[in-house]
Amino acid sequence: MNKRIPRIGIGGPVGCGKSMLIERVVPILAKKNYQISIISNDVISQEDADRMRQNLATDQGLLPENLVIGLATGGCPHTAVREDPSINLSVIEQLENEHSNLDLIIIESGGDNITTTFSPALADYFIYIIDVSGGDKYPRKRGLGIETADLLVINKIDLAELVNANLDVMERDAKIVRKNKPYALVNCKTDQGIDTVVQHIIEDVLFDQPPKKMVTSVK
Amino acid sequence: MNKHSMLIVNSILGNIHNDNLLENKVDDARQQGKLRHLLLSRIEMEKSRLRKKTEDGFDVGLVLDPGKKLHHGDVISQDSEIILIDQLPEKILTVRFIENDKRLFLLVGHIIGNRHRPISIKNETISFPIHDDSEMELFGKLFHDVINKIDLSMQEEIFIPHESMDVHEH
Repeated sequence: MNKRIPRIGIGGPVGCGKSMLIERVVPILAKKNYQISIISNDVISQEDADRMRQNLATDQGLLPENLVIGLATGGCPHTAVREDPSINLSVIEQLENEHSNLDLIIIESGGDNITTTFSPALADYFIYIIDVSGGDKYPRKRGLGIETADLLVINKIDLAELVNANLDVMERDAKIVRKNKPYALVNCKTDQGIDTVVQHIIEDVLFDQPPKKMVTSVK
Repeated sequence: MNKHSMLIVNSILGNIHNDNLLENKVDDARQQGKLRHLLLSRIEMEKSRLRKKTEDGFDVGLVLDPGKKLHHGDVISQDSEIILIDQLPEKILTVRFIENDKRLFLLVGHIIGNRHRPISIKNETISFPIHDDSEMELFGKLFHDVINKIDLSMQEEIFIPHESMDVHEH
């Protein structure tokens, strides 16, 4: 059996910035020599996977093109990451067999509702992302995703003023409903707050361990 | 934070609920003040990779083999100090069937399943976790058609789900 490669699941509503978060986080991790694969779930199209492949692999050369994988899952997005994640697990199994050098696999769910969660068999760490445009009531309205995710990311903070969303209120409520589990305020357009997300990934998912590439080259 | 003080745990050494020797060791450690408690929610218990601090701040990185799962009462380290897994209690609803009616069982199972809840079955009861007290009212309404044939009650306890909800890897 191949060693399990650490996996992060990213969920959140349609248009909140799941793919954009990946496009901001991966370059920072890649610069630190971590090798990453991305599996992007979508209901019908492979739009997000195609965009991420173009940006991160083809244009920036941060990972091979074949390691950005698009999966059209059909049905409600949460079923493919929670109730029956077999389609994702079979892709991961292949990655673990053929690319044991990977440090991290990022699985993006299709856009879904606030009760989205990942099966622990699929993801070790669950990031739930929302954006401010739904209003500052969003965190206190709760839901499994917002409450139980290992990290809550609140994106598009630059839009807060435009939609009369009070970031202090969102922070206060996030602390209350998540019982002090971590959250991060980010603007994926400018990378504001992205370092915090990367830091959580390195500490809580990668356990502060160096990239496999570095360990191998030292030996 | 001291990054080098994390204890990586790869295996579960046993469970105090079915290993008397281990239970005695844990009791001894408790008396000597050398017992550390790792408090985990049910959702955290299902993870095979997790970084978390014990109650007294000791940094633990769990990396369990696929298919291995933590249980309440597991012991994960017994070197100089013992680390005991404590699952946190949570709010659950319990349906006790008053009538022996197959149609009733199917209907209640269907209603709970539609809310994607894990279940625990004991004798004539079925239990499932709730997110909030207000769900007592919600499920009261959902069970409206059969409310005279069941007893509905809320408890706060350690919830051990039936394994039917488990997803297995190859």
